[in-house]
Amino acid sequence: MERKWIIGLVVIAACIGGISFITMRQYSVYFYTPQEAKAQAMELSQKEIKVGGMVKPGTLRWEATSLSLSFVLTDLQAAEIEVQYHGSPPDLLKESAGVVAQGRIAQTGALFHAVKLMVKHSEEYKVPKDQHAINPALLKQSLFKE
Amino acid sequence: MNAAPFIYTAFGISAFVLIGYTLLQVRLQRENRRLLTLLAKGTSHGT
Amino acid sequence: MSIISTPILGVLLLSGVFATWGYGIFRAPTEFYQGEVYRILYLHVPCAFSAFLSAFVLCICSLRVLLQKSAASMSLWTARACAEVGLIYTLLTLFTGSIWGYPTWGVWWTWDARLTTTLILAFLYGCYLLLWNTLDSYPLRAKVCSVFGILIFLDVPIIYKSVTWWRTLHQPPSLLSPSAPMSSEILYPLVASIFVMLGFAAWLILLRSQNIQTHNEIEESLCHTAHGGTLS
Repeated sequence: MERKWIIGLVVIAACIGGISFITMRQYSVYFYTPQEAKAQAMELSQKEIKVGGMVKPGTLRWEATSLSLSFVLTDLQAAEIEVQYHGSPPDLLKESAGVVAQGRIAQTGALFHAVKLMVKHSEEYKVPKDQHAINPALLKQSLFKE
Repeated sequence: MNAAPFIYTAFGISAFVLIGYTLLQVRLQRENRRLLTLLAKGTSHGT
Repeated sequence: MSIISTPILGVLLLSGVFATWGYGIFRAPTEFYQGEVYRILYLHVPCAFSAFLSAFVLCICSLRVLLQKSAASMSLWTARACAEVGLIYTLLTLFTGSIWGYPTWGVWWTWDARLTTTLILAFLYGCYLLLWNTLDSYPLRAKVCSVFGILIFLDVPIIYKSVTWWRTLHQPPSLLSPSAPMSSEILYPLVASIFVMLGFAAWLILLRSQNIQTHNEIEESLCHTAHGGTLS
């Protein structure tokens, strides 16, 4: 009876330890900004990373027949990366949406092959009549901090 | 994506869990009270 | 104590919780960006705060146990109850968050700081319950569990601040934010949902701790009658 509980405890402690270790090691940064990713593209191209930014308006292209999606990921300043993805996009992936793309960056830093796309939205909750009060700075803040 | 399945699943399962746990505890409360009164009767009759 | 833990109060509070959910699902306005699926907000956020409340009460009770140094106290039973109720609410938070995440973020899960630290909280609550079952009673169980109970609460501010300190998929806090990101038509029902759920969670903790206390009383009673009988 006692042994069962001790085993359970050890398993849980191992899980917590394991989670912390994996999280710290692989995701010392959860996602890179486009500028960081481009600057370190040489080393980062070796492994799968996440890059977070916004969908540059006018660049979102989706072909349903071939399931190919592409858009430009931008930090709204100088850094831009072309993202390519095979599959259906998340529902909320639109122009100017925040997105965290998971995949591999090319050594040049100009192209990113995404295996997963995650839409990142701001902390705002607005009824349609308050849409003028939406503050784009909030999304930028949480994407491009540090 | 239709939101309804997500909404109903989230609220439905949560309702089930909260109702279920509450019923369990209320039943346990009744059981305990019954046992306590039985024990009290038992000891008052002496060994 | 007994008056507060009557089933009637519990039914009232839970009905209140369901009323706020009903409002959130059927009466609350549509959100501009997320549409209808944002309504899980009225469930997910109250669960999260209830998990935090449980951790807080667990911490206070654990402190009292360590300072009181008595063999069996209501604080100890309440702490044990908090771990259980807290675990349930943490699991509900993770579950409802995941359901909400798929149609919005596009994923059921990700290892960002907010989600990971919340999962860790669930594991911590589980550890507490396992420790409770593994250790013999006083004094070891009370002392070890109480120290652990204080440590569990340290995760709560980390969870809350995780979206501010680190880059995460989960968005920063919407409540208590200086930039007032919520329309009042959404904010006010949310605040109501939170308070009613917290009230219900408090009632659950009280009822559960009372049940644990009576359970121990019954055990004590049986021990005494067994030892007082002719066979010993």
